[in-house]
Amino acid sequence: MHDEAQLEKLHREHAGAVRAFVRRRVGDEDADDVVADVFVVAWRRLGDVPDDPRTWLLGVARKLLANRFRTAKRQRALYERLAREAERRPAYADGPSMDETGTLLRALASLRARDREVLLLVTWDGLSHAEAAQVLGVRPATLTMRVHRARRRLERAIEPTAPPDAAAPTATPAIQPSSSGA
Amino acid sequence: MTTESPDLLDRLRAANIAVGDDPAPAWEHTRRRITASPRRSRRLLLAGGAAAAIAVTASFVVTSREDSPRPLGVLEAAAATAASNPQSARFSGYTAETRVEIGAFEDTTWQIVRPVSSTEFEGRLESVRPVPKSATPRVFPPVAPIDGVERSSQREGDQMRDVMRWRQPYGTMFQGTPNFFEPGSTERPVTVPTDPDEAAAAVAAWAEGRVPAGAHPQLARLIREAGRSPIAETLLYAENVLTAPRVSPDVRAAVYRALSRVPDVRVDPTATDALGRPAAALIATDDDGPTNTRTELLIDPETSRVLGERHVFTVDPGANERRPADEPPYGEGSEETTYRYAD
Repeated sequence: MHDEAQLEKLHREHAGAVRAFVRRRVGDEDADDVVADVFVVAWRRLGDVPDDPRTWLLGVARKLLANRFRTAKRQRALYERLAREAERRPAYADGPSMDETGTLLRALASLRARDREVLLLVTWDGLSHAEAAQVLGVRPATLTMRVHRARRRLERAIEPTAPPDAAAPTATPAIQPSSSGA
Repeated sequence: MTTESPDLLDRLRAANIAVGDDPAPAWEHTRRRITASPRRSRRLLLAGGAAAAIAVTASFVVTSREDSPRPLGVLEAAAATAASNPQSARFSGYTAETRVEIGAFEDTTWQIVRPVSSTEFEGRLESVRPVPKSATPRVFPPVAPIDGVERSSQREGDQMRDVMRWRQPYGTMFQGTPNFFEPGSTERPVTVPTDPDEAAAAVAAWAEGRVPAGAHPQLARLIREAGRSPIAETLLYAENVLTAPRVSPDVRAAVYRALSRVPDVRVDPTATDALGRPAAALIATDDDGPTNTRTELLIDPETSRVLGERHVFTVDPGANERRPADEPPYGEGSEETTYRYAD
């Protein structure tokens, strides 16, 4: 198959999954640009794309996000915002309560980036532990241990009497020079 | 503390903000990029957002090469303003804030320059850092023996503020930090050109990749280290002269006129600085393997003042994935200095 046709097929079959993966981490605004970047990388490394390309593409997306957006900060801000919105909306009859959603999103925002990432991979992204391990480039046993620990930290973060270090971070006041020459 | 909830991950799944796959974005959006990005070329697309931003400005960016006119006479206007503006000779001070964001690293420092007497100005460098956890006091690295440098550290909540303060005579350049000179150096501060022809010749020499005759060796070394190409070095030299206290209007004008004669200085007249102020950006772009640096000197042509200096560091898509396993990743980010003037 011609290379461009091969890439188009790859795009047709997986771009939607890559876009959802990106949107879960940085929101909707830049998702299309990141997806295009992922497939530019795939184009340049077409010979490296494995037969089952999904986790490979998600791994590329993860690295691009880490490089481009300082993702941890942005994710935290995204989930904080969504948590606030959820807590202001009435619950859907067949969905989780909005308080519950808000609590979970806020707890997610408070986690360290590495903990948050493994939880997203095995829940929102729907990956098996083996697939998530491929995305992160670690052994499945390592991934399983990380999920276990991250899950315990998420529990602590949603505990109402959680210690201060598990709570959502507070904004740091802007730091200024002691006095201005201007 | 709660016991481990058996359905916690299910609860998290239920809070998914993007259930299932999205519709695939238009293939055309990607196809355009791969068409513009030949494989195995050294000059690749910049990563997404930066590429988009540059693409937007690209329609306004022109060079002074013979095949395209320089836009709006930006540098000529700045030269004319500088020549007729006595403010630069008065000098009332400024604060320059420098923000560095490279990967997860973030840092902010301030350089405050203000007049303190009829013959001297004060330079002050401030930075903050977290209060150290250990009781070991911070040891400052050895600094150059510039007379009269005071150093202090003061606790402010959970931060420590480090301050270095010193005085320089008018007619010398503000060097940004007292350790500008190498330890042990007995060099005096760098003098600012007083002859417009000398200033113009220095700009022309930097643009040709030469260190100007008679240049202060420490200044030359600093500019060589900071600039990645003759054009970037030219912009850095120009910034040093243009932000020096009490520079003669003729010298400032000569610097701008000399810049206008450098063929490879590109100008974007529609830029803005970090404070949102409209600016003209004088641009140098440099590639170094898979990493790219865009250096910008941001000026206000109406006042001829320097508004800022910006370096944007990008990495070719996929370069980090391709690097050998034992090499650290290339960093992306920016360093930007923004000047706020007292008057």
